[in-house]
Amino acid sequence: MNVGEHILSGRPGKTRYEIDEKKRATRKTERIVTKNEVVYLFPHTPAIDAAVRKFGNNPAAIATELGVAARYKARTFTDDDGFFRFRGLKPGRYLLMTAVPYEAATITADDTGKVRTTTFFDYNGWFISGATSVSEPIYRYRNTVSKFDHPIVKVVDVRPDKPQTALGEIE
Amino acid sequence: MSALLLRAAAALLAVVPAATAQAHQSEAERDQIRQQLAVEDLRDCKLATMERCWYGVFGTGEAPNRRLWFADMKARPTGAARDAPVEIDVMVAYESKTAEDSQGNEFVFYTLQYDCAGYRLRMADGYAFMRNGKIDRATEAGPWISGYRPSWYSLVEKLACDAKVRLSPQTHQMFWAGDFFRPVDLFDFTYRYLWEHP
Repeated sequence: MNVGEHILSGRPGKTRYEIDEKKRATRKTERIVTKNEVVYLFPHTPAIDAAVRKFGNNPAAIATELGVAARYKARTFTDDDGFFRFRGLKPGRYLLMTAVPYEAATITADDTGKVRTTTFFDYNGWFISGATSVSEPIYRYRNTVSKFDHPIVKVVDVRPDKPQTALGEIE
Repeated sequence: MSALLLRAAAALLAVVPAATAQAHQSEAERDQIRQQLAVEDLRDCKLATMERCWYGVFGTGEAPNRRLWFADMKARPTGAARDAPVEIDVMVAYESKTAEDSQGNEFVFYTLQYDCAGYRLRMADGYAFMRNGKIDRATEAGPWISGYRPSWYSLVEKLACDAKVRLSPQTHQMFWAGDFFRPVDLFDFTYRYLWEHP
């Protein structure tokens, strides 16, 4: 990745939806951006192309297939408003990878250590012909806030005739 | 799979884990990962696991006109002969960024060759990255020069010519800066995190 004069900028983000009890997204949404997160840029190679086709939006899997491109990564950080900027690029195709950490309301099941046993009887007329017992752990449910990472994998083109490529908000 | 690739994969796995409840990290863990990324491979450069290994070797000036010299410890011989010149990359970062000075340099990148036995050096390649985003590249290698001691050239000479210094840079008052492959990323990191500009 030699030095050039092109610039690539963008703002990774994630739209957080509120989910109701029926697991439907409600109208309440919120845009999340991040600060001080690492943004990687790799030269787009045939191996990377194959990995993206195979693994899609799974950066951990793609990372195992980067091959020689891993040596030539560019690396920067998002600023306090979530923006990043790569300077000194040569025109070409690149693979951009980063993540947007965010929090979401979740329900956590704590194992109480207790077990509930339920017995089912089989009847033959008035007589019990058999019985089956099922044991299951007893959970205590509580509302919690969990941390997640929203992965971003994007192939970007830096065109020779375009000194500045602004990706805008990417998700 | 090379150790470097494994390392890159591990770093990415650490930064962008799958978005599952099982894989989520606490804020303390996330801070630790950031710290690891910042001081990634904080060790000497005897292991060939990095493409680059930047150390800050020299500095001058007061804010907002500071200058820092970084040298890439991955010095390499230019030939098979025992006394072949050694090549090493140096980046000089300039802090000042004024609108009036658009022709000024943000950083200058040198590829220097040291003739260790002859106590002389030359610039084999180099370019200046200017504040207006343009690049001013050297068109040809410079002449061999000597008599550069004492100056930052002689500090870099220690790195290029003395393996003991390369293997223990921190005992020679040099600080780890990162493994940025591109000097421009090292400059941006310096400007924002070391000089604390937004």
